[in-house]
Amino acid sequence: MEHSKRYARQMALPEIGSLGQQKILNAKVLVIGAGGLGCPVLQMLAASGVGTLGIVDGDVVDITNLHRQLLYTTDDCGTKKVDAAANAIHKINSDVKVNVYPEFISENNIATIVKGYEILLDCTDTIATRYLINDISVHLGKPMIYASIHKFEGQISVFNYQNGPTYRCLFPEKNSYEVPNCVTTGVLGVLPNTLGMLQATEALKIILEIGEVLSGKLLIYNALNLSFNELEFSLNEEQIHIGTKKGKQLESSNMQNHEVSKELFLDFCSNENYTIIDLREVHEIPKLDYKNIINISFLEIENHLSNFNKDQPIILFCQSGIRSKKAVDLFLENGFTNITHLQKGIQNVQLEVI
Amino acid sequence: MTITIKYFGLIADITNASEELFNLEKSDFTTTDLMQQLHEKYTGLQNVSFAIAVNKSITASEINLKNNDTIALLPPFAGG
Repeated sequence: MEHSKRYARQMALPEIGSLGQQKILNAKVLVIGAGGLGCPVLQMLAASGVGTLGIVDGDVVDITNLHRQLLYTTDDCGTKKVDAAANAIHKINSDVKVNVYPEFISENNIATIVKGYEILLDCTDTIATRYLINDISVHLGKPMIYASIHKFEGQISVFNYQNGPTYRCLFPEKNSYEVPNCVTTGVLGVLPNTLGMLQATEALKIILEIGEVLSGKLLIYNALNLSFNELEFSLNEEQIHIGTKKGKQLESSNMQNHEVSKELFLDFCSNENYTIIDLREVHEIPKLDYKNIINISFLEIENHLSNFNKDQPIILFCQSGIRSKKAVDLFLENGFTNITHLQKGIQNVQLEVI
Repeated sequence: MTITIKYFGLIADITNASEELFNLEKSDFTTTDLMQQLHEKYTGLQNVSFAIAVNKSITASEINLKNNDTIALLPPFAGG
């Protein structure tokens, strides 16, 4: 009841209705970078009712962010962006489930983090990271909604949408060029907000399956003369091949040992996309208090494999990592594809944060 | 023939203009010829990576230019 009231004005659109609103509530969207682009994207998607939002950013809020990153206030300075963003989103719309990853996206964590999300939003500020996001999105078949800014100009496009052209098709990777970011060139506060709103619009269109998604086209906005230029680009098989190959490498290097680091483990404990299995006996401590942790003793686990889907993300842990490693092999032998375990066990994790 | 060249992002910083008209006496003139001329005119271009669009369509291959064509030089942006 409260739902239909909150979203009444957008549900009144025949293109959305209650069916469309349900699609929005079911959507799982990952926002990579919670800065100038990420803030407006998160605000808008949260207000629209996107069911699950993941936020990846290793930075803390700085006073120089506040003229454009409107999720944050002066009091947030010094706190982790993901935490400040999660708090702000909770105030906008407490229905939204927020998963936070307080780290910068890298080749070591990207494959693990993006699993479980349907749409990736590139709100980062370095070219190298954009190639990483491109490659994993091509390999795993997820659309990537890209935007970036330079002084008073911004670019936006949707890559890899329904096997459409990718970031590499537009900008094949070249060595040794440096591209300036906001720190070095400066930025007008409204500009990333305008671009972020366009990214959020594309995300909602993909979720709702309405309109025409900005695929194979790059839109360039110039705030100084308020002009929009649209350029078309096409699929480049060679670049798709490079992206797929690199994306596959990212996934296998992430998953090679089927291990999760202690830093990532606690993030996953509070991420309901993951099932965490405690393989220890009942008497072993410390206990972890997260909703998505279930306790199945190592001695019993073989009899419970049929309770799980073979492609669902599962993380195993025990006291020192020995039983969980053995159990990983058992899951792999039984055809599970998304199984990892906590490196060196729970004894290696600092639990004072709980 | 006359062609219009549009510059974006860092390239507009180097050329100090967002748009420029080129009057060419030759009729046989390709995108490669144009890039050669631009690199001579703006030496800063050699440090920048960019895509080239002819009449709003990005192309990696050499294209023969015609009267009234519009060419865009588009670098990736990094900021966010």
